Amino acid sequence: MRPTLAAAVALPLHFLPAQAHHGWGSYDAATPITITATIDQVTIGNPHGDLMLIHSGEMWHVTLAPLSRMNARGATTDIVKQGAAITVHGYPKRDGTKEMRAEWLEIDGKRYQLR
Amino acid sequence: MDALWLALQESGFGAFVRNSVVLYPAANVLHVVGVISFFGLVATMDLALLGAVGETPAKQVIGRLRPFAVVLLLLIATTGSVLFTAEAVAIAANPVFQLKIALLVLALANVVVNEWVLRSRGDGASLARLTAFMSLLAWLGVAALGRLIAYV
Repeated sequence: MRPTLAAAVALPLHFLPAQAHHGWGSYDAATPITITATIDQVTIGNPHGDLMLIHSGEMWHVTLAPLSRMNARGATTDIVKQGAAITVHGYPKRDGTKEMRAEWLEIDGKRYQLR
Repeated sequence: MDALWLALQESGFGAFVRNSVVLYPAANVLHVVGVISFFGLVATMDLALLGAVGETPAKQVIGRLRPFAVVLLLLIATTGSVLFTAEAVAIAANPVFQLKIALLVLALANVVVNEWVLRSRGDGASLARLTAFMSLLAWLGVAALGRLIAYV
């Protein structure tokens, strides 16, 4: 039962359009942005985590680090969870899609460096 | 097919791969190390057929190395399947992945042709050398396309 439940919870994120990730060149490192919002959806897993948050009426997709690094930095599922207030600093997609790769996260005054 | 990939991705195993601290990175590392080792053997066999590695008959080199190459190919396929399962829907739709699989099928077909040539005409046949050359190109291409999947 548990894997099925986990899959059901994880399901929505896999239907997001922004599946072409990695390639750091597609993110604009010269113009970092910082967004403070509430976590709408989050999955922390392989090959890397993803979180969704609404900022200025638009849904942003934030690409996180791989699972092992998230854990190593303390950004675990009990901290980076749905409903948590979060500040994300990172690099937006060059093509203007509402997607960014996170450099760091801040939750409850604690900063989690993801690079 | 899409339904199959979705079912695979959302299966208990798919969730396990995504949530495993050890399995995914281990599969990733073994996949790459497997590819390097596999290509080392492939290149040795192909270069033997092309007459570039000394006096040992190519057939003898292939007889010794091919079993190890087959084992490594199974390792590569297994670890690759683990990586694929984590995000099966997106990867299956990835044009570079599709090209990689097409080239992989060609590379495997080339092995069959190569084996047929070795049996019917011997390792000195020019067709044997052609398949060796094709093999080098095809397997390097498969490896290169594999690395490119994440960037498309």
